[in-house]
Amino acid sequence: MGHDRKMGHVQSPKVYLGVLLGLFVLTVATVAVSYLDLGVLNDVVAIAVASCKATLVILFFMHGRFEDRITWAFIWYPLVLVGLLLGGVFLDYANRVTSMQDVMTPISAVETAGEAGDHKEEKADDGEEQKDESQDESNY
Amino acid sequence: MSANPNWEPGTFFHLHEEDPVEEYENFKLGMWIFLATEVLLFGGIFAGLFIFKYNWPEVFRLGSQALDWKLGSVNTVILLCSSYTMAMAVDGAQRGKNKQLKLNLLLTLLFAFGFLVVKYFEWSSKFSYGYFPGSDLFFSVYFMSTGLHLLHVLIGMSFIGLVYFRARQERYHEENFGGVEVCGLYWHLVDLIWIFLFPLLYLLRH
Repeated sequence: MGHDRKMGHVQSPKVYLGVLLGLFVLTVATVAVSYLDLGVLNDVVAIAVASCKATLVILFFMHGRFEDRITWAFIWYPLVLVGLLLGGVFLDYANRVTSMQDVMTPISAVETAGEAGDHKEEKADDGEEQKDESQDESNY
Repeated sequence: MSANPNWEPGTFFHLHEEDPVEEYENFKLGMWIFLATEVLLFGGIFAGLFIFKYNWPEVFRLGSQALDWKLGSVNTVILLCSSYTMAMAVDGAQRGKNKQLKLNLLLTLLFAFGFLVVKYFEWSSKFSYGYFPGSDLFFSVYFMSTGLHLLHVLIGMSFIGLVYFRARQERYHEENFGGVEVCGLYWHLVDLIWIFLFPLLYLLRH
């Protein structure tokens, strides 16, 4: 910012047309790849192709390649944060042995065990109350 | 009252005295910072999409197959074309070609309207088959994410409409095109979000 005192940069219209064609090609690639069964990699490829398209749009359509460092800081920081979030989700599921259903079974078991414990406590409470009443009666 | 000799009554920040290049740079930076918050907003929605998808893959596979990927592709192409015409509009403003600017703004609005028409047919067919927000987890995510994107399309269209109105008054030229460029930045973000939404909602074949 401020090194050259010119306002913005002009690109050749051919650049925009080339980028548009590139985006079309990548769209066809996204649809084609979705027919292949790559397992979890389907998501990774879909995001990778979409990221390539996003890079083209940011660099050329949005004039990102002419932007200064402070603008790029504001381009990178949300991407890094979202990348951390999604990366955490992917790592979590890649390293999971149990499915969500398996995890839920022991939780319900814990809940029934907890209910049984509550009943015992209630009985104990009743006993104390009875004692209190008997003490009251003896006072009269 | 003020030590600033340039102070005039009725002007809090005498913006008219700011260096035009600096004003232009700051205008764009402000939009980039706003776009960063938009990326964070949609990033959270994408994280939710992936968490639900990995817990209930079958719901997402069946839901995605209920969508028409051809209509989704058409809308992808429409938005890509609208991004191109928007970039050409900015190019026209930068070169001081008011005709090119106005024509491309109109084309962008036309593509955006085409997107809305396709979206209308898509959603009305989903409703007629009894798919509503809340029908199942996939359709909740689908209507939430595409609905929020649709809101951005509508806001972008009003923004482009405003810029077109000002272009008709010949307010943009080689020395003043920041407004067009900032409007373009917002519109390209609308395109960027759809670039990620399309494969993650429409193309879950496995």
